[in-house]
Parts: sequence; structure tokens; C-alpha cells
Amino acid sequence: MKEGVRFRYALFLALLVSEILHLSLDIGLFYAGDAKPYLISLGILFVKDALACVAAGAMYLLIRRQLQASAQPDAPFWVAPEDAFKRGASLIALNVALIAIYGRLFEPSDFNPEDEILAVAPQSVYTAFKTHLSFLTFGAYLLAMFVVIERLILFRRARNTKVNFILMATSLALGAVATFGARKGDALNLVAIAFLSVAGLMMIVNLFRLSWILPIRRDEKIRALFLAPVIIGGVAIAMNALRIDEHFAAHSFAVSIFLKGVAIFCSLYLVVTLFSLLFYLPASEAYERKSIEVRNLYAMSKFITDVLEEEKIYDSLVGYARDAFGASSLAWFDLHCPYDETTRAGESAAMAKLPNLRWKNQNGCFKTVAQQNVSLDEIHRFSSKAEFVWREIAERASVVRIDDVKNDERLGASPSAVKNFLRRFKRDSNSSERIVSFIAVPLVARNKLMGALCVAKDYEHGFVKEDIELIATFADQAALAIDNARLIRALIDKERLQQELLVAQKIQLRLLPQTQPKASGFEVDGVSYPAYEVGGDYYDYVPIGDDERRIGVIVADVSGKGTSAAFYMAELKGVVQSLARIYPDSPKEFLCRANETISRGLEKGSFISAIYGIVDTERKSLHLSNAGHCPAIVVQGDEARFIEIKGLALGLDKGAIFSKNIRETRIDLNEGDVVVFYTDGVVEAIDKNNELFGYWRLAEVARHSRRKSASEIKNDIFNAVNAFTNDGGAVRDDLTIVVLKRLAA
Amino acid sequence: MATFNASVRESGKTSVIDVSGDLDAHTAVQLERVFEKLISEQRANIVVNFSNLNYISSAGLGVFMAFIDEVRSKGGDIKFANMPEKIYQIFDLLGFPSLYEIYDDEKKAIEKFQTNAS
Repeated sequence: MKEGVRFRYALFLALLVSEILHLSLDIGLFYAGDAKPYLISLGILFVKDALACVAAGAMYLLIRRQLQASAQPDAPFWVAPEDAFKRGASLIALNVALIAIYGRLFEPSDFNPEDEILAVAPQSVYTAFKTHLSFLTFGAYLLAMFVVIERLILFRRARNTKVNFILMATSLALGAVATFGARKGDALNLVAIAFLSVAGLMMIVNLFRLSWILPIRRDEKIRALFLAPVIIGGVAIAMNALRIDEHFAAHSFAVSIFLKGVAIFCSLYLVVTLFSLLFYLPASEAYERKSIEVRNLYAMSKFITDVLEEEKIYDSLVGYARDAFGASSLAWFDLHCPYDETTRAGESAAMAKLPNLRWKNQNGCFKTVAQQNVSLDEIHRFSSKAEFVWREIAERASVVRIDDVKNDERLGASPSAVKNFLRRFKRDSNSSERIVSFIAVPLVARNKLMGALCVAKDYEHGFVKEDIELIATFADQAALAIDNARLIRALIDKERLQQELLVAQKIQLRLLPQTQPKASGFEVDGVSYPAYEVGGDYYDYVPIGDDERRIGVIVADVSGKGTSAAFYMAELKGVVQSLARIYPDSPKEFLCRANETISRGLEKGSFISAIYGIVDTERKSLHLSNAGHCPAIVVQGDEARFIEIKGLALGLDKGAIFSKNIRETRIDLNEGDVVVFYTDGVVEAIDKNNELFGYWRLAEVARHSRRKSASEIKNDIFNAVNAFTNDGGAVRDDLTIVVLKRLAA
Repeated sequence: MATFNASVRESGKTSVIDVSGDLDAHTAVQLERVFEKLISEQRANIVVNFSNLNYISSAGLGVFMAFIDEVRSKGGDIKFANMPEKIYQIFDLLGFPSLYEIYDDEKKAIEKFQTNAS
């Protein structure tokens, strides 16, 4: 950077020094021409040319550096085209004004044309100054224009573009250098002619590099159309009317050749530009729209990865569609809500009552979730007429287009051309319907209909084939984005559910007894395995009375699984723990009260089967009652039997029928007697042949293991079920086993 | 997954739902929908024919619980018919026979509706 600045100072210094020397020389020549013309040798022209060359070269590099430094590092143009026209026009005006004023203020400049030798010397000091002023201002202007045009030519360059341009510039420069020492009016030497011809040829090649025109905006093009003639005119005025070309020639013939070449090239380039602008102008609207489309599509595709909220996608989709079809268009998005397995019938019924519902059948409905420049009322009016649009999309997922709402057979209009023609004349004073032409595209991702993007215009035939393609592309992109968002949503939901289930599982595990109860002369042990994360099985022990002579044992199965079952379990535990102490004598009474309490809190369709026994450790007996639960097994001696007691599950009935049906029984337990409580997970376990584990096998295992401890019997049953289901079978439900055993004295 | 199907037949003013396959927590929604539809059509006399049902879970039983009050409040009923033994055992265990009328034959259930109506 510092290097660059230093270089620029050096260039500036070179320009300054050479110009001062040159100016002094010219003033000297004027006085010499006035006094002693014989002192002037033509050799002095070489000195002048050399000085002018240095000055011109330094000035060119300086301007180039300056323009380059003022631009963004990676910008294709150092001065943006639209900017260049503005600056070019104002600078040429300034230049012309400056030189014109100078010409007015001082005597007209001229050079001695008659005298061969005096032609070298300026006519007056003013003339000398004007010569250098013109060079420094207009010369600088031409060089700057040359640099700017170079960048324009190199925009979107092809392989040879740069070579062509350099060839032109260098042959022009070399042609100029070849004329070193010549005077104005001298015949050009052959070398110069050769170089200049090459330069001229290359100019023609370079003139038609205009790729920068297309991308600039339409209004910029129109402005350029007016500014280009200003610049061309300005250059022409300066060169001819203000006679700057003569001053250039007086400054240095060689450099003037170069500058003139530049002036001609730049003017021609502007003329070609002018015509191109005229040609491109009609196409530029289409080009601009295409580039907006491309931009929008790009933004849309970025959306897929960036935005995860469905609602935002709907909004931006509608926004993009409206951008693409102009600010006057109407756009909205109808979401498709299918009634599937996962949507509960009740939910879908609630959804169907939404006010912004478009259309529905037994499989699903559409509802408007985003709209722009259109009211729900308008959409409603339209959709009540054009129901077929949504039916078509739901059934066939095809694009629907209506060219003229008032003249569409599908909307019940008569296709009479005359009537329609006449209708135009009594036009729309009473009708304010803005949806006149209409297009709807389905959003489909992975064969699933997500919804319909609808765009409408307030005039007939507002959509052509390209529009459909465009909107279809939008729809595809958006469908992907929505699908993506849903997948991620589902993942997040699943994870959250998993977390909830873990919490429920923890709660549930804590609801189960952590230790075995102390019961003199008895052993109790139990276990519960949920089939899924959270189960619906529950067992518990409640010491009854202060002396803890009696113990309540409950095994229950809450219908339904998951988090709600865990909550019912918690409720059940509270009820059991409190009621067991209030009704210490009768398990039947206990279950009646428990049913009353629990029925109130239970969801419709949920129920709890429960078996409740009160173990009296003193009387060695078991008082048993059953509310719709699997019958307990009693093993006495080497005989196992089921204690079948009638009773309804808790929650099936609120009171009367339950109380009428419930029974209880008393069993005396002898030493070594075993009672097994269990849930249906045990008897409904299946093997690979779909055969149930069943009551008989369970009783058999209990009978077989009767001499073991309660824990061992429990384990034996559990292992037996596992062995049974191994190799292709399944435990389809939660599995709970509680074993009570009277110990031998 | 096990399949489940519930289809409705009309027999006069009585609707007969034929259930087949496995009625569990996943498939219960289908049966719910059938009940909802019947109720919305004011068809409250409902007989459920279980002859082809293979398995019923507690969630499946819950479906009948969920709709019985509404159906009865409309003057109708849900009656069960043609239960295979193992299905009946489950209903019996939970005490359903004291809450619902269960018939061997679907015709008897339909007749019952008719005699009630006359």
C-alpha cells in the first residue's frame, strides 16, 4: 500500500516536472520566435515530444491508479457504468466551460501557420498556457475515459478480449511514438502508418464489446441514452469548436496522435453503446424480471436450509410469488390438512370449524395460512365459486389455471365471445372482484400434498406458460422447505416426548414400592416391567393400623399407556395410600370408595383393573376383592387354584352397578401357602406361534416353585414368561408379578 | 403390524359394526371414527359384531366406554354380539357384562332394538 502511494507521488512529480519544463520551453520558444527565430531548431520538437510523452504516460498511470484505488478491490468496473455516464457528462461540461471561458478571457490562440519554423512556437504566452491547460484538463479527461471504457470492454471478457485491447492501445501508442519529431502537417512515416492501421483495425474489434449493457437497470439505461450524446457532443465541441486538437498538436504532435486516437475510439464506442442501448431497452424489462426470478429462487433455496418454522416459509413463499408477479398481484397459500391416522377425529372436526377453511372432503381440508394483498373475504367469495380448484388439487395434484373468472366454463359462465366482448364496455362499475385471472399450484413433497399456492391478477389472461413454470418451481422449492421443517419439527417433538417419557418413567419407578413390607410370618415380593418407556401397571403395599398387623396389597393395570397412564398411577397411589387406612377391614368397601374417587378424575374410555387383598398376619388370612382384574392364584398343598371373584374394573361405572357387582372372599393361609397376583401382561405373553402363555402355564409354574421363597417364585414366573416369549414371541403388555407366601414356623 | 378393520352394515334402524383383526391402542382410532360418524348421523342403535376379532387391548375396550354415555343419552345403545370365547373372557374379567348387553347372535341384538322401539 505504501509502495503504491509512493509510486503515485513519483508519477505526480514526473507529470509536474515535465509539464513545468515543457511550459518553460514553450514560453522560451515564444520569446525566441519573437526575437530571434533563427535560434529555433526543429530538433527542439524531439525535446517537446519527449517531455509530453513523459507527462502523458505519467498522467495515464496516475489516473489509472487513482480510479483503481477508488473502486472495490474485486469490482469488475472501477467506475460503475451508470455512474460513469453521469460523471463523464458533468466532467465534459466542466471541461468545455473551462476552456471556453479561457478562450473568451484572453486573445484567441493561434500558431504561426506560414512560417515553417515559427509554427513550432506559440503565438502568445496565453496560447502557451492554453496549450498546457488543455492538455492537463481535456487530455486527462480523455485518458480517464479510456481507462473507464477499458474496464467496460473487459467486463465478462472472453479469451482474447484483453489481448485485443492491449494490442489496440499499444499499437496506437507505438504509432504515436513513431511520429516523434514530426510537425503538424508533416506526412506520416510508414512505420507510424502501419501501427496506426493496426490500431484502427483493433478499434473496430473492441468497439463491439458491450456485455456490460444488459445487466444495468432499465432506468439507468434510459439515463445513459441521454448522457451518451452529451459526452460525444462535448468531446466533439472541445476537439473542433474549441480547437483543442490544434493545441494538442502544438503541445506535442506525437502525443496528440495518441489522444486523438483515444478521442475517436471513445466517441465511436459511445455511439455503438448508444445504439445498443436502444436495441436492448425493450428486452431489458424481461431481463430484469428473469434476474429477479433467479434471485428469488436463490433466496428460496437458501430458505430450505435456513428456516425451520413452517409459518415463516408460508409467508415468504407468498411474498416471493408476489414479487415475481408484480406488486398488484394477489397471492395466498392454502395449507392441506389431511385427516390421517395420527389426527384424532375430534381434532379434525375442530379444524374443520376454522373460519379460514377453504374446502374439505372426508380425507382432508384446505385452509388459508398466509395471504398478501388479498382479504380472507375475497378468497372466500372466490373459493365458494371455484370449488373445483381445490378438488382438482386434492385429487390430482395438478396445476389449475383460470384465464378469466367471468368467462370460464368450469365456473358456470357461458362461453359466448360476443357477450364477453360487449361486457368489456359496461365494465366493472359494479363489480369490484379483483380475482380475475388465477393460478394455483400444488406443493408436493415425497408424494404428499402440502398445500396450494394461489396467485391471482385483476385482469384477464394474466398468466402465461412461463409463469406457470416459475410458480411451479417456487412451489417445488417451498414444498421441500416445508417438508424439511416438518421432519425437523417431528424430530424435535420426538426428542421432547422422549424426555417427557423419561421423566414419567422416573416418577413411575418411584411410585412403586422401594422395599418389601415387614410382615411377621409372611414374605412378600413384587416386580413390574413396563412394556414401553412408561407403563400402566401398578402394585403397592400399605401397612394398615398402628400395629401394622395388617398389610394391604394392591395390583392394578391402568388402561392406556404413556404419560397419562403414569399420572393415573400417581393418582391411584394417593387414593390407595389414604383409603386403605380408612377401610382396614373390607377390601370390597375399599374398592367401592376407590372407584368413586377415581371415576371422577378418569378420562372417558379409561379404566383401571385392580385386585386388592388385606393380609392379616395374626389371623393368617387373606381378605380379597377384585375389580375386573386377573384372578389371583392360591397354591395350597400341591394344588393351585384361581380365586375368581366378580367385580367391575374401576372407572367403568360411577357407583351403583359397581357396588352391586363387587364381592369379597376370605382365604385362610396355612404354612407354605403361596398367593400370586399378576397383570394380564403375564398371561397374554405370546410365543412365536402366537400362542398365549395363559393361566394354566402360570399356575403350573407357581405350583412347581411353591417351596421356594417369594422372591424366587417371582423370579421363576418371570423367567418362565421370558423363556416362553424368547425366539420370536412377545410380552405385549406391562408385566407385574407380586408373590405372597406364608412362611413355615 | 396387525391389521384391523371396522365396517358398518345397516339393518333397518340398527347399525352393525363388524370388527376384525387386532383392536389395540393403534387401531382404536379407526373404531373411534366409525362411532363418531354413526353418532353424527344420529344412528344410535349400534350392534358390534366381534366374530372376526382376534385380540382386544384395554385401549380397544376404552372405545366402547368412551361412547356409551353419548349413545345412551340419544336413546340408543351399544350391544355386543358373536363374541369368541377368548374375547368374552376379557370383557367378562373387567365386568363389562353388567354394563353392556352381550348376545350370542347379532340377530337377537337387532331384534332387541326393534322390540324396544315398538
